[in-house]
Amino acid sequence: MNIFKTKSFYKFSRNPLSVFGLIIVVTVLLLAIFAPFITPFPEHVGPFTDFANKSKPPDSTYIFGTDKIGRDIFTRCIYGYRISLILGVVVLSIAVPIGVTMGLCAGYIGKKTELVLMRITDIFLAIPALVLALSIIGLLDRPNLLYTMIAVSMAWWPWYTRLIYNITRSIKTEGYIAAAEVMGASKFHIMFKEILPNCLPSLLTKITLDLGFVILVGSSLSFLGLGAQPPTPDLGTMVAKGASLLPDTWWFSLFPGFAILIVVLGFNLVGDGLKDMFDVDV
Amino acid sequence: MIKIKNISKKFFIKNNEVQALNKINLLIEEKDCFAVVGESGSGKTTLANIILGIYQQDEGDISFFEKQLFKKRNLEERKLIQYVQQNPMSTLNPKKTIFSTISLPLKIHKIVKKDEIEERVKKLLSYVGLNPEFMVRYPDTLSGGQKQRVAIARALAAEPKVLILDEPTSALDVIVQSKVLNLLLKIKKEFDLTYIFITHDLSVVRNIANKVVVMNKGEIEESGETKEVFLHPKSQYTRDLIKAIPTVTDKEDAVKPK
Amino acid sequence: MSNKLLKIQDLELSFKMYEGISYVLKKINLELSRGEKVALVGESGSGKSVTTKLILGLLNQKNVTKKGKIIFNNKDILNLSQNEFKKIRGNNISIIFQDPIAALNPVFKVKDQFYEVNLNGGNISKKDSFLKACEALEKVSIRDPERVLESYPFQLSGGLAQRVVITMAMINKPELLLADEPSTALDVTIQNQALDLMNELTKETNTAVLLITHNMGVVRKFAEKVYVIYRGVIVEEGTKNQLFNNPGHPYTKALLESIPKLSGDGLPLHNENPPDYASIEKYTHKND
Repeated sequence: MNIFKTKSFYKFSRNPLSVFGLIIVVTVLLLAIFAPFITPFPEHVGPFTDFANKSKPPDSTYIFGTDKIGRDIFTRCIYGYRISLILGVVVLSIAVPIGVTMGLCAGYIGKKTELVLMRITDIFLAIPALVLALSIIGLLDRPNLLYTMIAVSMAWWPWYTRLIYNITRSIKTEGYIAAAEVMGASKFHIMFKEILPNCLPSLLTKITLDLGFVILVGSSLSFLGLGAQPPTPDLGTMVAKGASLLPDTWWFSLFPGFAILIVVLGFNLVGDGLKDMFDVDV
Repeated sequence: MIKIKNISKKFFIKNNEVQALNKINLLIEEKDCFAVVGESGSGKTTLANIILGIYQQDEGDISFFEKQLFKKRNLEERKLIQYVQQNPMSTLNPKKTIFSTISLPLKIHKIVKKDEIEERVKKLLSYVGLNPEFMVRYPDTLSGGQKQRVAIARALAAEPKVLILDEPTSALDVIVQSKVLNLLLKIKKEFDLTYIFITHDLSVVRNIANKVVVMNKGEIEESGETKEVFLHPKSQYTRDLIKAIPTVTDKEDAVKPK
Repeated sequence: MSNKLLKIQDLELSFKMYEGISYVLKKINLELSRGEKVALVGESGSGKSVTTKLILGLLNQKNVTKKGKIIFNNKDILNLSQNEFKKIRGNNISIIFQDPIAALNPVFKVKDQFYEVNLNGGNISKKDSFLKACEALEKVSIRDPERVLESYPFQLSGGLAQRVVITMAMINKPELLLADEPSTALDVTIQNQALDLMNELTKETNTAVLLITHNMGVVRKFAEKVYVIYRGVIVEEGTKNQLFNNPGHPYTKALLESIPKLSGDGLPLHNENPPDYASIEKYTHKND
């Protein structure tokens, strides 16, 4: 089947912005995957120095310019995407299963389970994500990328609990759930085989929208020095390092910052497109 | 077969107490087509849900072949009472194929061996007058009548003794309704089923049920053989109800109570 | 000049969708005189509801193609602008929907919704509007109109809400009332009250009614003239007596036969392969 000819893609593509977002996301993904082949100076990713070419403004060799120790910023931005995307994927693969399971249990089983699970969720929701992540990193040893991921995941799952909880509550009253109960189906079957498939459109949309936001929060943490540590190329760290030198060497911060903007925008546009396509609220 | 003794049920809606059922007594015998009629708020659906084990009654007992039934039931008790519900839009899971919908009861109750499931689903679909090729389709490609047929096939799959039909045809167009009712009568004969038919439509009841109970505000107004209740209604409420039915022939107007 | 209030001529409607063009109405012809009660009866998907939407000018999406004429008071209203429609809607033409509670806006009190409607009939103060509404509700034997007017819609029972909706639709004395399944969501005993009320109020103001329904019993009780619609085609037209006593089109016959009868004659057997009713020529009863 040709995916571009399906009804779903037709609905998605009615909004040219969604298609634009999809092009951005696909491009970023390809750039990140094939970084070693695309980038002109893959060796600039590690602890590399070339003081002859330090702090060079953008030119034909170094299209984004070079940093304080002569590394190509374009190369480091592309590799920075790798870190950002890994962060996004890891964070959501921790947060989504936790959130979904809690939401299904709270919404379907109800009563005391609902009370306990939803109050826990509320406690997590009451603290802003960035503050929560900051304090979790503070609790854990020295800052590194893994801790950042765990911290962001802890701040993120409650939103999925909320989403799935609300959908479950409305689906619970559908006839096919009653039919399955009367038939004698188990709670596990009803939650994961009957209700969950109906949550997938909303879930997929929210995941897409969130990938952008997770990358943004991850970058914010890196900006504060709590993410990946040098010399790993991280977009947030790069912006932070260059920020003190603005506006003289503007290319230090501008291009990594722009790279963050592009990827967040891309995921958001695709997410909005999916929202229209599935006709869901998230 | 099913004995209902002194069943009461209350609901609390915004701190208001609503007596949905008040000391209901019924006796349903094997192979009955037992109609429960009432307007909205009469408690007929609550009664069905108690028999199905979706709600727990506040007072009273239900027994099934002399055995007490509670809300919590084992698989064997679940298997024997199945139901078909009103809204064809919500009765089938939109994300599951017809095959996986109908095969669920087969798997839960281990009706047939694993490699015979497909065979059985095809057979069930042809029983209810659908092409076995429908198996691979999703509900949104089916019409309302076809969805109700699938729901009937799903209920039959568990090989029950009793089918509770909660307004199974109310949402369908009349020609389709008539076909589905014919199907239900055929199935009843073929599988020796007992029906409990919940509806607000007295004209349907007149043509398919042998016994009827008229409910109003959680209480039984009148019960008895269908013909008797329609021709000589004892309670004023039943009389008003029958009088209010919109009719399409003069012959029908003639049998309405004066 | 004809004396017909509403004349629909060769009305065609199609939607452009992803799967292709879907033809919803095919050359519909329909006529209504002043004060006449006409029913348009059909099953779901027959095109009866879109007909009312066209009369009210509510179908203006880009993917809609309309052809033909809807002549109301000797003026073609099919392609009027929204502003021109606003003057007609609620003033000359009003509508009653299936679910009375959903038809009322849940966040406004009934009196405020009456005020909105009264404004259509010309400038009026809130106080006068209240009094006017009060009087109208009293006339339809609602005992405590003040309480009803001060209530929110969800505080009313279904039957009461439908009386309010009917009163509201009739308060500006429209020339045409569109009733889209006005009694379907109600219990049978209340159904009759709603129909009687509609009958009474429209008689007083000589308002014509176009009743849209799937329920033949309701048609027989209320309408004088009947159009049967099937898949976007009118298959039969005639007076109530002609149609019920002597149906001419095979579809109408099948429809009437399929309705379970209170006289308990059993269920009819069905032709497993029914003909394509839509392709069978329209049956028009002769007037005598």
